Amino acid sequence: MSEFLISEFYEKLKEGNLVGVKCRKCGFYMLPPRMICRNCGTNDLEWVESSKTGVLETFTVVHVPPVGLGKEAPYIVGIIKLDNGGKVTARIEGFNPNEPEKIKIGSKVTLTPLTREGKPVLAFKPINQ
Amino acid sequence: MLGKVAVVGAGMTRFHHSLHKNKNGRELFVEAVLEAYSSVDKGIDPSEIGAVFTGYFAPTFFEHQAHVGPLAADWVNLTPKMGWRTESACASASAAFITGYMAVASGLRDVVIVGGIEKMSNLTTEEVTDALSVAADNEYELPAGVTFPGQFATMANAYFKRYNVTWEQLQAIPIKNHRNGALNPKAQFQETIMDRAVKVGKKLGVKFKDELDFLKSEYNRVIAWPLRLFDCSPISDGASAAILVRGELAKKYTDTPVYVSGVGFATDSLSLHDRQTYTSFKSTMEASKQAYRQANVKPKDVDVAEVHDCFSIAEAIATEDLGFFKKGEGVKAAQKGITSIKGDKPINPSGGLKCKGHPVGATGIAMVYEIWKQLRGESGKRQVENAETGLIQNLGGSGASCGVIILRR
Ligand SMILES: [Zn+2]
Repeated sequence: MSEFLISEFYEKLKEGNLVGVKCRKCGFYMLPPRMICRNCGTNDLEWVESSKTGVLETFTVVHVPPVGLGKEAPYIVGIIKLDNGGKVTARIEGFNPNEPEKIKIGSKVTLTPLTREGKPVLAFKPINQ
Repeated sequence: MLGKVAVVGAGMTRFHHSLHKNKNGRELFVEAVLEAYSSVDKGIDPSEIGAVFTGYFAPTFFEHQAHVGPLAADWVNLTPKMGWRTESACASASAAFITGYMAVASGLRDVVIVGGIEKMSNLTTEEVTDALSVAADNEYELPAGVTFPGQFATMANAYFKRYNVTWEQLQAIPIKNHRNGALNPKAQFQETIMDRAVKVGKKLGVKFKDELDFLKSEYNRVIAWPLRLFDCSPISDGASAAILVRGELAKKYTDTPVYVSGVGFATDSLSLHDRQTYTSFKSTMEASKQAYRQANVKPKDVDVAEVHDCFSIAEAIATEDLGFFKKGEGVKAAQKGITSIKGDKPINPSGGLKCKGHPVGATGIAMVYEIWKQLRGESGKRQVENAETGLIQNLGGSGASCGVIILRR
């Protein structure tokens, strides 16, 4: 089971790869990865490459950030549904956080991971804008 | 087979951001318990109490203090009785209540105290934001910079888009809750939003023509777009307590007991992205289903409810998930006055978390306090007429947990 550590997910993200897990028994796909299949309950899972493009399902612009992120605010956080299924919470780049009305739910986005203090952060930016 | 359980006493401190500056959590808890004792009509001897369960979300952040269960028991002089702290983010107190309920209904104890505490004002807003954010998933949500208001703002955007509702329409909820809270001596802000607009206007030398005019102004700053300051419950200090007894013993303590007729508690994924929808809470629906079934009560039978309006949007969604209104109709119901004290379905007569205050771990039992008073006809100017069945809905974090309790006269 060691390969299914969350740290492994982030190691792969560091290299620019987004990965989910697929249940070997029922085929159910999960992103972000977890240890037990949400569909059938078995723990027989394998890593599967995720698509790097998806759709912005919803978002917010954070103006009051937690400690440590003061310099980044205002910033956009959203939920992305990847083209091959699975959903993640990620930073949204490439829009002006001061013009939230122009950020459209349903926008097509692509993976563009960020790094904060050496750690990878999931981020997406709009395609063809 | 579960035995009958009655609430025979309840107490709470006033909720406030500065009034309790020089007190700490345990002192606030003592204050709430002493009021609960004195609220017992025929009196209670503390030696009869068999256990103390205390909700507190983040004492380690706020007070550099853990092990709050025995600490709370000790400060109300109840050691060596059974007791521990329950934690389920903002639903920590309903978790304490249901723990106490289980102890009494199972026959393990005859009389218990349940309570809740949060002493938040020691930290700066940034630090509080940080402390509350850990109710979200530390591995899969926080790295992106998720905050507690941010989670609800994310849901608000999804809700607006799905049901074609605007932020302006949503303001009916905080406006209503401030009108209610203005009548509540325990509330943090005892003023309507118009009262505040007039005060701010005088200071700035401007005139706001109505509540919405003020709420749209720069003074009501954006916290997490589209939610602004007045969409958010405040940082508060406070504590709450209630006394639960075996049903057969109730008349020994009071001639007007309030019975716990159903309880429910449900869980969901911490991460919003792991849920199918962002416009309703599975945890609320499941917990209320459990409570309705046990109580044999239908949503239409509920005369008054205290729901978890940590953010304006959360009240709209709660009133839909509890079955009071159809999906997407919660905001409209508030706009039409249906949820006002004199409306058909009064919601948050206490002022809700928005106006009464939200010391996170104390909230669930402060809701019980309000419903207990309402059912006994002791709510003064904010009394809902002929309230016989009341409900509380206490949400944890962004909905990964939820407690629902139904009380009847
Ligand atoms: Zn499976």
